[in-house]
Amino acid sequence: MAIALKRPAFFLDSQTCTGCKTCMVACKDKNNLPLGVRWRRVVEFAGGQWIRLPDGTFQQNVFAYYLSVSCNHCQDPICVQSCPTTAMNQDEQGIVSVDPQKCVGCRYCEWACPYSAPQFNPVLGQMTKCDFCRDDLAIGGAPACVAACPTRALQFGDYDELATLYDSKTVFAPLPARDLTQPCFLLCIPKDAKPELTVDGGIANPEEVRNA
Amino acid sequence: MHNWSLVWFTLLAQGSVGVVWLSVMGAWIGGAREPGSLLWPMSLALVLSGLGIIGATAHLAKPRLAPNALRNFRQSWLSREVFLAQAFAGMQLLLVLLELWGVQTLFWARGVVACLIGGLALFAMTRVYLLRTVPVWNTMATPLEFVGSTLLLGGGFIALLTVLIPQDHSNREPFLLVAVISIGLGLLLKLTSIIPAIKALTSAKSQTWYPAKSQSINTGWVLAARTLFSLLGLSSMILLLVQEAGPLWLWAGLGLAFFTACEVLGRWRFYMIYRRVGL
Repeated sequence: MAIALKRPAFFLDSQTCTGCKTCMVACKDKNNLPLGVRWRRVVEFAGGQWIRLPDGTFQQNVFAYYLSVSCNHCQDPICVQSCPTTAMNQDEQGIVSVDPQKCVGCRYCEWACPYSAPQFNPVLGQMTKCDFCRDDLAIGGAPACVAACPTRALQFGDYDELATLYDSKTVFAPLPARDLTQPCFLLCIPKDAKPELTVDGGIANPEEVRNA
Repeated sequence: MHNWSLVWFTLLAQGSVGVVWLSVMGAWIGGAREPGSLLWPMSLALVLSGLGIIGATAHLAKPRLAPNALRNFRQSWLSREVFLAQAFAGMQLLLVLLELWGVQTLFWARGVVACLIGGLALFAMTRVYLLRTVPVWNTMATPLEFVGSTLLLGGGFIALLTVLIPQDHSNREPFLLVAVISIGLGLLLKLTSIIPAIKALTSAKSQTWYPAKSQSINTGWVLAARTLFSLLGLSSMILLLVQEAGPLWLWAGLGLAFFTACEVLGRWRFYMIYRRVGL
């Protein structure tokens, strides 16, 4: 039975997410993505330090938390607005996808998207991205990443319904400000979450996020 | 980022706009209305536009689908840029043909229309980079830099063309005048773009951007090299103005070469400093 979602959205409980990257692997596996193309990425945001106290002991404030991010099928999608060909399009449900018949591979959407959602596939010579596993949704299934998550930290549902349960304004580092694109992505704040533009911490796995 | 094709396209297209603006202005100041007076500048502008469009097409992973880039004119500044760059090249071709055939009808009107289309293409080209998610580009520095390049390269090309085409001194003077004024204005705009550019870059360094902030952003040497090239270009132009005889083409050629080197470095740096908010 198909799940009738008015506006599909992902929800991530960052408190529960262990950064295992099963979601990332499941996505790559289902969509047969080559090396370097990752529709879903797990970002490790880490920081803090060990401080030596006068008595010779140490105190630390190190932290790390994970963010599993794919396309957020934004309500104000900058990729759709930027795309010169209309290949990047949004359907009536709000799902943003790429039409391979139209994409010229200019990569302008890649420049614009603050979530790195559009990914260039060098084999195809075109942009590709998460389409919310539209085929699975149509037969009543869950997106591959959600189905694979061992801790159930990653979930999906209707944006309006999720927004009644979780704060839809939540944002923390390294996520960009929500008003830039109005993402359909809800979050549960991790314990050590840092504010949006913090300088305390950084992405600890940039190579993994970019090249996996 | 491998954006040499975009460095090529933007500089050639901006140079082409500059050549059209300055040639029409030079012809207007000099009152030149004899048939064919704009043939050489318009031909040069057309060659620059054509080469630029070839470069832009080479940037695409699927060049055979390039016409699709005109589909989103309603929303996308990139689509508008593509359309206007091609309309500008089309207008230049028309002007070259009219000059070849010696048609004088609506001489000024068609010149002004070409200038306007060029201006619109330049505006669209600038807007392409004013992305709200790329604060390092989304500053006043981008339009200042692009208009500056248009004036600087346009001035360089017109100065060289003016001394290469055999013509008497009185015909040459107005074109040289607009070229030198344009170069001066271009350099001034470049100078004023430095502060907003540095501010944007400093702000980008202190925040969590993509790529990760651990990746250093240090292109200070580019500023030093560009200053040197600008000064050398300016010196060549001064020598061109004061030298009544001698190899004028040499000074004009050197001036254009130095300004081009300055612009290529600057545009390369422009693409290198790309930093986006978010992940």
